[in-house]
Amino acid sequence: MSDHWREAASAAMDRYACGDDSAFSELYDLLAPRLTAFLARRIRDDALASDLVQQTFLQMHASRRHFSEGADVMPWAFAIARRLLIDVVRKSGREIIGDDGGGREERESVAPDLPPDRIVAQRRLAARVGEALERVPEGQRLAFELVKGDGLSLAEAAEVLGTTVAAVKLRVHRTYEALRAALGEEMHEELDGVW
Amino acid sequence: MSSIDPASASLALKARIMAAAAAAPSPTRHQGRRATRFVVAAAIAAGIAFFELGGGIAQPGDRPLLLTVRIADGWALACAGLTWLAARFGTPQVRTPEVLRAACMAAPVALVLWVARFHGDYTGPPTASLWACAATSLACAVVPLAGLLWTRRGSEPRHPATMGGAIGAASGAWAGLLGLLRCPDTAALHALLAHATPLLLTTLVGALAGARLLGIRRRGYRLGGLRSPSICEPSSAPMTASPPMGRM
Repeated sequence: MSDHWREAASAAMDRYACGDDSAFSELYDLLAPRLTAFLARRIRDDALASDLVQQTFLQMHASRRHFSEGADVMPWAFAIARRLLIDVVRKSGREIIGDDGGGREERESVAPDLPPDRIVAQRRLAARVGEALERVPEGQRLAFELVKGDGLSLAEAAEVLGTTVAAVKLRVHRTYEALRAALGEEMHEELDGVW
Repeated sequence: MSSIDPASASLALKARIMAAAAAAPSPTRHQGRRATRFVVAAAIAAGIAFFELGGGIAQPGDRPLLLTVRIADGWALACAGLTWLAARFGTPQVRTPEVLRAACMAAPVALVLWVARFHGDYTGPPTASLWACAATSLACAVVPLAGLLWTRRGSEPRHPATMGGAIGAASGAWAGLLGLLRCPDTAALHALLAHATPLLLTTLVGALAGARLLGIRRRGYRLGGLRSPSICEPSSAPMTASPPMGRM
């Protein structure tokens, strides 16, 4: 996964923190799809996911003076989104994650240049992965999705989750083992395509 | 399926966010630093004012000035280290909260050990009042603690209590330095009760207040007095031109 967009996002946030207001639009374009995907994977309500994206950006706007020079904006943004998400779940008692297979299937991005049968196979597998992930404890699932789905490094995922790299590594490993047990050898061949 | 095109919904969301941000400008990094400098200057002035009101630097009995300076300068180094950790928390230099928590917990112990190290070097009358020392330390810590918590409010999504505790520890440590400048008693028990306990208290107060003030919560943000509309809540704010988003 190319890190070019991440560097561009961090640079945009840096410029925005310094007072370049036009950089906020650029930051939105770079981060919003990732934040939306991150939130949409965890809640069933797309309107609520959009609301949380909005609140995440407004929180970043309000806190821009605290963004450290040269820091990576991605873990910070994800940590804010996660905190807001937890707040929603606590206040409203909404169900976190538990994405239905159909919804996930619609959202998964599949390379458009693949043959149709391959696309169908990947979507089926994505649905199975979703079902298997639902049976994994929330903490493990979130760590796995941050690393495998959102492309964060172990250290960055640890930052988002407020835990240690070793703990994230363990959670990802356990989730991977659970998926392997559920999907068998098919996972080795196809999981990269799904995520 | 959605009745609204996802692309246009995304554009509408972006427009709302941009409009809300433009309508309620937030401080830039430069402005934030200036505000922090102002708070620090005010905290120093307030601390010195409290200190002078309490009698200022005292040389009890025949305690040599050099001993006072030696006690103070070692602790000042510890204060500077703690302040650096608190200020850099969240940056690439200090990312792990464990380091900060350990430093906060170690500070009162270090204070007792440092002061007790000088016990016996001074033979004057140990007439320090436990309450006077504790009150000086607590009073001098109030302004920096409140001011720094205010400047960092809503800024820490991961460890607000740790951040608040570090601010409390740094504030308490500097306030403790002022207490040491006038305290004639270097006994370990006195250091524990009159100096380390207020430091521990400011750390705990900072942690509790930090969990409340520094954390991020979902709310209708009041940015410069303008409430940013939330898609999921009915809003009377003027930026609701776009229709409510349906499921994509």
